[in-house]
Formats: sequence, structure tokens, C-alpha cells
Amino acid sequence: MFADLVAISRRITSVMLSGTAPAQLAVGFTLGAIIGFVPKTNLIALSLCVLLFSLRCNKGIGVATAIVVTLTNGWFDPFAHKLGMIVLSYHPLQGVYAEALTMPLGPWLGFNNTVVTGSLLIGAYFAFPIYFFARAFFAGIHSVFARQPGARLGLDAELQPRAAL
Amino acid sequence: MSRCFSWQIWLPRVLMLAVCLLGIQYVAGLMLRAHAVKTTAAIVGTDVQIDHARVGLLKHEIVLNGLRIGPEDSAGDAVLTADQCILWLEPKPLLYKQAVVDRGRVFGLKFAIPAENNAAESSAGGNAAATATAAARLFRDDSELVAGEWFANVAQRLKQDITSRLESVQRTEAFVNHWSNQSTNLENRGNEILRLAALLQDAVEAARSNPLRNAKYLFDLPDKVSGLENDLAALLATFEKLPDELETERRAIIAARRRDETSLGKPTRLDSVEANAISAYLMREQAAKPLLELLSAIDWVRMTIPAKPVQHQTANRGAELLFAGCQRSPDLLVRALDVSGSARIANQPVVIQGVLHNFSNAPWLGSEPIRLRLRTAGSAPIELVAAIDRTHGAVRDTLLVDCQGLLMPELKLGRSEQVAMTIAPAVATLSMSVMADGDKLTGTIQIVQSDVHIKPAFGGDLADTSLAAPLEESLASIGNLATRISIDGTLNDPRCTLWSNLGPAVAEGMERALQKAGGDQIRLLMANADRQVDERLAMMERQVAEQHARWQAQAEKLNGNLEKLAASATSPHRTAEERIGRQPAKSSQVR
Repeated sequence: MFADLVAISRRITSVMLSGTAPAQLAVGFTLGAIIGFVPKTNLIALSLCVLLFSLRCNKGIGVATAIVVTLTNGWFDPFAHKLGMIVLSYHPLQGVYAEALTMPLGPWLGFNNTVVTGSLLIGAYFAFPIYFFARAFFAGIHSVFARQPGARLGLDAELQPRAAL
Repeated sequence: MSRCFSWQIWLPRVLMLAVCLLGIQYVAGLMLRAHAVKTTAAIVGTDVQIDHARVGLLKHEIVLNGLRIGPEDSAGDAVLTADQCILWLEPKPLLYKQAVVDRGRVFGLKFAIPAENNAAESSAGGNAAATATAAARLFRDDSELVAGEWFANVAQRLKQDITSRLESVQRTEAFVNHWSNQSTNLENRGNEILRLAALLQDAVEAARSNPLRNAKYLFDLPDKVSGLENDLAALLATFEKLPDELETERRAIIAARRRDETSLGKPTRLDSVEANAISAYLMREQAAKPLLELLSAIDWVRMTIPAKPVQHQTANRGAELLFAGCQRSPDLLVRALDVSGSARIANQPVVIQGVLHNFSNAPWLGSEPIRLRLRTAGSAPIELVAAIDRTHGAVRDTLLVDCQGLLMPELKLGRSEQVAMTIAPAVATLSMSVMADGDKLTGTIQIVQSDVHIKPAFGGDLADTSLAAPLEESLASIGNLATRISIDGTLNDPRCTLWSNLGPAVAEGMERALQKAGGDQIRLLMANADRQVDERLAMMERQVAEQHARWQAQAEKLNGNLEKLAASATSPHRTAEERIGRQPAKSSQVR
């Protein structure tokens, strides 16, 4: 019984920590940030979560980022509300919005909420910059802490095996 | 392909799916319970507890067990409890974030009045001041004061002693006073005669000692004696006339007594009082409490089911926009909810069955008003129809109650310190129609109690009067006791008017009781007056007789003395001297 629980914990931990490449870490971080921005009681947030756990990225850093950003998203709500109000009040798209809202599961999306739409747009707008800088950051970290064969023995890079490169 | 049909493949997957569904169902139940408690508490504004909640995914049903609404009393009973509530949801509206309950059932619904309210009711006078204030707030006229003053006037009338105002008594008193003065005068006259007689006696004695010098006096003595005798005779004549005067006056007093009897025998007319004032005096405070509860219930309904969205302080993040062409609809709609349970009405257990239609958390978005129809079975068949209309901007609440054969408990009306009525338990018919349209309030409540037995009780100044028995006898003729309360005004400023046939019946009964009690009182008064008159006349007669006898004796004695005086004054010796002239004394030298 205990072994089963340990096995499940190990499996979850391995899932959360898998995908340690800088790009995967950056994707997890970006999705976590977007999830953190968006209010959680709608299908958009749920879809983003599904996306996070579906992609080959680092889930642990995504969840941690979502929690941290969620704790700070009150600061962005006024701006998100204004942005969402502007977008949702855009007259030419009223028919589209209405059509989407009257579709099945449309109200569950919650996109008629100004903060949901505003925060989603903010997240989408900043997704690539976040990804770019996060990737650079994790690459830097990766280069510093990456395991280099022979480094532990004090060997130079030229002496290291070719396969290690 | 054949590998897929192997039980080692599909059985674990099916089991996994079943476990997932059960897990989802369990988690959904927990979430539903928390959401239902939070939502219901927000709607009704009081404590809500749910023991267990279950979501049936296959039957798309929600089951809430152990529902308790309202604060629990010391016995652990809430105001409203339900054993089980089953709601069958329509699946399609769930896709649109709506919960539409096509049909629901509530089992084991129980209404309980908090024990502290019962205790407050049972404590006599505990909330009397509050009830009186409430009655003054609802019934804004001074009819209660008018009736109170009328009863005080009746008490004063029964208490007052009018013996001194009777003509016979007044005439007797006047005659006694007159006779007293006359007696004093006669006594003075008699005493004066006695004094003059004594003086005359002394003067005669003195004159006899020197007859020559007082010859003139002695000569006039018979005239003086005669004068005194005449005075004495007049005095005696006056005394002798007194019994005749007394008899004449007695006859006059008897005639006056007959007039007194005639005048007192006329029916005593009370000051007219508005019968509704007596009804208000007796019933106002009893009626005020349920009326206030009714108004509080309407206020609670208004607060619970508002006419427009309530802006909560803890609003959701952002704003929910409604796009052109979209129609807003309530998140929760209960099309029909069957209710069955029990309650205690007028201390009688009744079984309740009913249906709640069109209940929603946003009734202003609906097209039909919320309707509640309740029917009780058992000893008190009550039918209640309530309509709460918030559609199209309307704010209209209607309540219709019809009850045939409601067993009313014993009622205590009025005030024990003055006039109170106890109505024995009786079967009643209750009809209520109340409508609150906006702020305007209109309605009528009518209660007809059949075969009532009313027992009056008097306190204060009326306590020792004999009104209770004749009033009870008179009130026994009331077959049905009808009471009607008209409600108008506004919710903040309600005005009620009370009418009942108890007021006119009590007024008429008081009139009759007063006649009877007045007759007894008149007989008592006349007997007292007669006794008083007879005593005074007898006393006076006795005094007259004594005085007459006394003066008769004194007159005889005085007459004897005066005759002696007169006889001594008219002696032959003196006559000879006068005839022959003065004779010198024996020692005189002239002789």
C-alpha cells in the first residue's frame, strides 16, 4: 500500500519535473503566467490548464507560476477590466460575441466577463515576450548548471569525449 | 483486435471509468453542498445547513438531505427543516450555465416556531408594552381610549350614590331641618313663657310683701297671667298641630317617593359609544401581533426576492456584459417544486402539501410570477395561495388564505384591569386577502367563529359590580363572532381598521346588564331611601310626641301656678281694701 502511494508520488513528481529543457521550462512558465492572470471559474482557465498538462512542457514550473501570478493578479484587474470593456464593447464584433455566448457552453467560457477577456488578452499579448525572456533565462541557468562530463574531474573541454558535446 | 475483447483489457478500464465517475459524483456533491449552503443563505438571509448533498449524474438529479433553514433553538429545531429535497435538472440548460429544475420534491418539511417566541408569548405581560405600541402603530385612532372612558363612566355611574338626590329624601331632609328650627323656636317660646312665669312669680311674691306699693302691679296681675296663659295655650296649640303637619308632610313624602320610583324606573340611557370603539378596545392588541407578523413576512419576502439585482459588496471580478441580441435569464429556475410536510397551526398538527412554481434567483427576468399553493389536510383545512410578481418591473405580492374549520384556541381579549373577555375554543373560518402592490398595501382579513362562548370579566372599579352575569347571559345569544380587519396604507405606514360584531354585542349586553344591575341598584337605593326617610320621620314623630308631652306637662303645671297666682291676686281682702279705701295701720297714730 505504502509502496503504491510512493509510486504514485514518484510518478506525479516525475511528471511535474519532466521537460527540463529551457524551451519546455519557458512554455510551462508562460502558460502558468497566463493561467495566473485569468480568473479561474470559467472554461478558458480550465482549457489553459488542460493545455498546460497536455503539452510537453514543465508542469511544475507552470503550476508554481500560476499560483504566484494568481496571488498578484489583483494589481492587474483594473487594467484588465478596462481592456476587456473596450474589446467587448467593440460594436462590429457584437454579433460574433452574441453568437458565441448563445452557443452551448458559451456562458461557461466566461468571455463576456471584462476581466477574463482583458486578462486573457494581456496574457496572450505578453506570452511571446515572456516565453522569449524565460527561455533565455532558463538557457542561461541551464548553461551554468548543466552537467558537463569531465568537469567534475577537472578535465578541459578539448579532452572531453566527442559524444558528450 | 481480439486482444481488445480480453477481459484483462476492458475490465480495468471500465472499473477505472466507474471509479472516476464516482469520484466526480462525490466531489460534485461536496461542491454542490457548499454552493447550495452559500446561495440559500444569501437568498434567505439566515443560517442554512445541509447534512449531505448528492449529485446523480445518470438521473441528472440533485439530492439534499437534512436541510435546515433558520437559527436553531435550544431544542435543536430550526425554523424550517426538510428531510430530503430532490431536484431533477434539465440537462440542456446546464450547457448554458443555467440550472433549470423541471420538477422537484421536498419531503418532511416542518415549520417550527422558535421556543423563545413561545416563551415570550406565554409570559403574561412580557411584551405587553411592545404589543400596545404595535397596536397604536397599526390602529391610529382613539377609539380604544373612548371605549376605556366609556367603561370608566359605566363604573362611575354604578358606583355613585344618588340617594341624596331623591325628591323624597330631599323633602324629608328639608322637613326635618324645618322641624328642627321650628322645634327650637317652640322650645325658645316655651322657655320664654316659663321664664316670664318665673319672673311673674317672683314679682308677685315681692309685690305681696308690699301690697300697697304694688297694688297697681297686683291689680294688673290677672292680665299678665292671662297673657301668659294665652301664650302657653298658643304654644300648646302649635304643638298639637305638629302631628297633623307631620302627617301632611309624610303624605307629601310618600308622593315624592312614588315620583322617585317612577323616575328611577325609567331605563338608564348610557352615553352613546361607537360600537367599533369597544371592538377595538377588546381586540386591537390581539390582532396587532399577527398583523405585524404578516407585515414582517411581506417585508421578508421583499428583501429575499428583490425586484432588481442586488449589488453585493463582494462582487465578482469585472463585469458581466450582455451583448446585443442576447437575453438574460436566471441562473436558477425551479419550474415546479412539490412540497410535503407538517406544521403546527393554532396548536394543531397539520399535514402540508403544495407546489411552488416559477421560483428563480432572478425573478425580475422571468415572465411569470412565483406562485405558491399550499393546502393542509387534517383538522384545519387551509388553502394558501401566494403570488410574488417581480416580472416587467412589477413589485406585487398577493396572499390569499382560506381556511374552513380552523379550531381557534382560547382567546383573551381586552384588559384584565378593566374589561376582559375570554372566548372559549371555537371553530372558525378564516379568509384573508392581502396585496402589496409596490409600496401600497391593501387587504382584508375576516374571521368568523361559530358557536362561541364569551365569558366577560371585570376588574378595577367594575370588579364588584354585578354586570358580569347579565353580560355573559346577553353575550350567550351571539351565535357567530365575526371580525374583519381592513388593511390599507403603505408598507412603511400601514393602517388597519377593525370591525367586529363583538363591540355592538358587548355594548348592547352592557346596556342590558346595566338595566338589570341598575334595577337592582335602584331597588337598593329606594330601600335605603325609604329606610332613611322612615327613620327620620319616626325619629321626628317621636321627638314631636316627646316634646308635646313634655310641654303638655309643663303647661299643666304652669297653668296651675298661674291660676294660683291669679287666684292670689284676686283675693277678697284686696277687693275690700280697694272698695273702702286705704285703712291705716294698727300702729298708725291716725288710727
